[in-house]
Amino acid sequence: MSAITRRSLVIAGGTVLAAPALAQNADWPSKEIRLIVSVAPGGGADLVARQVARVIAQDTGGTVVVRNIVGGSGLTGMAEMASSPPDGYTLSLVNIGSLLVLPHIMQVPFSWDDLAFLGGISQNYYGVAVAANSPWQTFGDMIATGKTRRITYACATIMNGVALVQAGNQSGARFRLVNTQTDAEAITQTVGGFVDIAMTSSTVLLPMLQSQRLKLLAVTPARWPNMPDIPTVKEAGYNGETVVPLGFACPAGVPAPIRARFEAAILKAARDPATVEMLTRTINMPKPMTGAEFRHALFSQAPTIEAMLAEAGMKRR
Amino acid sequence: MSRFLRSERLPYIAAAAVALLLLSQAMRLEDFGPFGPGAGIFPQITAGLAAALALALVLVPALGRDAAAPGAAEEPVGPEERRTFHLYIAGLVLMVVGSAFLGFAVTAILLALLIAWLAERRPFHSALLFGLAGAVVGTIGLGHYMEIEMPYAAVDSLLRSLVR
Amino acid sequence: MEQLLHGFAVVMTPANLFFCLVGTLLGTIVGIIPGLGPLTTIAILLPVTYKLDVTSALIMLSGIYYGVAYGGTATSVLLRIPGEASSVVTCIDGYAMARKGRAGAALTIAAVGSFVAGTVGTIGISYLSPPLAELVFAFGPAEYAALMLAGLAAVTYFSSGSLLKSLLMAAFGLVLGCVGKDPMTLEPRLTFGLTGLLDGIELPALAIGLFGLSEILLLARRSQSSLKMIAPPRSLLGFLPNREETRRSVAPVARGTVLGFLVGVLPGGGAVIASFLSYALEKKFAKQPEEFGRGAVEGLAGPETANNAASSGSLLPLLCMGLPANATTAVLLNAFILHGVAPGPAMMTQQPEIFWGLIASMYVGNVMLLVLNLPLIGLMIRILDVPRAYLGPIILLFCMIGVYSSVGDASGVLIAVVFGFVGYYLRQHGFNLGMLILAFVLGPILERSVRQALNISDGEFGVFVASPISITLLCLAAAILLLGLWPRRPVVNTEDD
Repeated sequence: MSAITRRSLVIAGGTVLAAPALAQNADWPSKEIRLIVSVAPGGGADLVARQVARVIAQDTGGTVVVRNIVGGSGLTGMAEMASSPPDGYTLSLVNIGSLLVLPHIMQVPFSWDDLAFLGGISQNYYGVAVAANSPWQTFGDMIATGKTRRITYACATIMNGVALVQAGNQSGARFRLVNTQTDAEAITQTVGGFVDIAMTSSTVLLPMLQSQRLKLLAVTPARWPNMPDIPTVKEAGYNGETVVPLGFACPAGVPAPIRARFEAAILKAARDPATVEMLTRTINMPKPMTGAEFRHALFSQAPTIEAMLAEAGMKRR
Repeated sequence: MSRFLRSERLPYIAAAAVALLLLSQAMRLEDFGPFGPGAGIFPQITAGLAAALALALVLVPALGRDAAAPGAAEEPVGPEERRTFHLYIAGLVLMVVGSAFLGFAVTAILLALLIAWLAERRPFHSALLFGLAGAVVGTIGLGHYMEIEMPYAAVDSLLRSLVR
Repeated sequence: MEQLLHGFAVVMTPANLFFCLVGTLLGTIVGIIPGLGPLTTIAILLPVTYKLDVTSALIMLSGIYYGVAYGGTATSVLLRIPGEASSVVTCIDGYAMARKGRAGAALTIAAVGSFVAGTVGTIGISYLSPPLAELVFAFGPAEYAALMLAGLAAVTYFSSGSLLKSLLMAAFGLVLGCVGKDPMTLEPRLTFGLTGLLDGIELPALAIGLFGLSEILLLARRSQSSLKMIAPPRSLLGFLPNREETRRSVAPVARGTVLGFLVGVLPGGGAVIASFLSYALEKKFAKQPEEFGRGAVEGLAGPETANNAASSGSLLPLLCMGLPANATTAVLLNAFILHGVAPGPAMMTQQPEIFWGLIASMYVGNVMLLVLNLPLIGLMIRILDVPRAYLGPIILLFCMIGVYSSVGDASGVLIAVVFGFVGYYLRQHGFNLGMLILAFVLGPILERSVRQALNISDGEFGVFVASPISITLLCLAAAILLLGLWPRRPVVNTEDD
């Protein structure tokens, strides 16, 4: 609608400015670089993006402006990035849902090939948490019950559940996804005994774990540094993993030299002590990844997620 | 008399039309998904309810009459007031066009001219000054320093580059 | 008590008092200026706070959170622009009071009500925390569905005039709430293929359009001479409420505080629901219910207190359980964890100086807010002195920034303007717009809860009457509905807007 027409106007203006920049990248950056973030300001991913923006700005000597374009489950911000002129002045935090989930549900105005992946910073830790008074002591107990009755798990993002669904497929345990609006809602429903499992990231689980209202049966994709005794889903004997990396991408047409500078800056930001400290404090796993590694981490999950969506009756395309 | 009735029914007819349109869209959605009620049930029920209520009011407009408040008492509207009113409507349209294409600064100046100079017949120069002040305060103060998301175009980036 | 005193000792250092002041001041500013949300403000400030002492940082960030509720009232009362969903109700009677020349009184009552709500809310957090926080866990999807039904039933109390017309507005509010991606399956609904509608109609666009922009159009029709843009009082203390207004606001403030705090503890839309419920409650108790909508003091005092009490209430699950009740408290939680503090019972026992310091800072902060806001009122009502020629563009630009920044692109402005025209037309024909907004807010929560409950129960409808809470709420809903539908005695109308 109006947003799109405005965008085409910006593209027209952008190309004129970008033409000399494309010929010789020496004077890049000559204007401000936009870093699009498709989540609301203040959350963990947003703070990482702001940190990366600072490093890119230092590294290139330019100005980097973080723009939070929230909406469409992250699709709007990603679409804005993908349709920007490939002049090296727009990049975005990758919203994973709009690559792995939404294309199966609705028309998405870009594909994997329209994006150049620039690298990753970190991964979330996830936990399979149950109410403290649950009879299950181990992940195996839970799977055993799952063979006799349907187990409900709550999460706000369908991708959180990948590890559970994979474990269920291997063992024959039956799981039912209960979609919640927020992570907090998934946790209250679990503590309150309305659903069996909360499958969410470490940061939001932490308070309820510390006050012993929830207990962890297993974690994924790796052991948490602050709870080293809890095994991963794989260690518990099931080949399941929830991998949600946090990384960046830009339009595919951005000249290779500029992409290389972004990639270098992102790796540098990922290894920066300030970034590592922030990630460690919020119980996230620092995990510097090159563009290719980051893309692979995402792309390899596509078949599993497609199957999950089909099973949940959400797949339409 | 019949004209009066027609004007009283008009909003209900419009409401019924909108509700039926929404209902027709809602009917395309699935009623039941794999886990009970699907995407369609709730929109269908609510749009249907809206349509039913609106149709009831079309048939018996007396049900919509308010014994206590006899509607908004209309002031006589002269040509001057009508002109002002139409210019304000143009102002609202300008907001949309401006935020989509012109950016904040230009929109602020044009709005000030449209409302203060054209609609309210203030002197051109004071309206222009007012608009310029609004453009600068908005773009630099709110947009640049407070990082508020605002409509953005070439003029805005020019203004912001003054302080950067 | 001893712990609380210890908390005061923590706050009463110059540095902590300073950061409390900065936080509450920023909160007030954020509340007044459109487009400057608490989320962005906290996000920008967060890196700055790394260098601060943990307690100071948290005192300042929390100050922003509860300070916002104070500032948000001003634009609703003075310009009929709701800064947030929970101020929509304030636009109705608060603005009507302003039109009668009582803008100062309205703002003062709101500020004092907010102060009472904030302070009593803090007392509630200090003494009732553990048992009340358990309430959060008693509400599953079925209980939420019942609560939303009770809220929707209460809308019948909003109806002034024709009940059928009010119900029609409520039905439209429910339909509009469905627009956008389905919350469960994410498929687009009622979007007519437009990408701009995929996210649904954003509440700020709808509320600013229906209330703020429609009012501009109504004002534009009036001739300059008949336009009594309320003259602000000339005397120094003329903005204070008179004895009659003070007397009439005492009971609504008390009721609003209790109601708001209790509803606010429950996650999801607490402040909005609290303000609407309080309005319905006050109308029920009022001696002259027909005055509601035309500047009833009770219709301002109750809801304005309730939404502040709710915002204190929503801090309770965050502080006691580490459970954020809304987007802003979610960001606060992140800020706490970044500073190495995981809110919850563990925080109370292991880091009592932080927990009680924070609580004590909220008592201090509320006093600061009151002291800051009262003189501001005298200043802010001067905006009504600005002639329409210049106030008009200011209001339009305010609305534009407010909508644009919350939606993120121009499609929101388009939606707001469309609803501006719709709102103008509906108001001309005596429709009740508050009803539409309430249904718009409650509808999606109702739908989601119903579908979650049936998903968990595998399609068994028995889940809705499985707990005493949901049975009670459903009975309450039925009772409210019956009472609301009961034919009311016709009221004699003496004065028109």
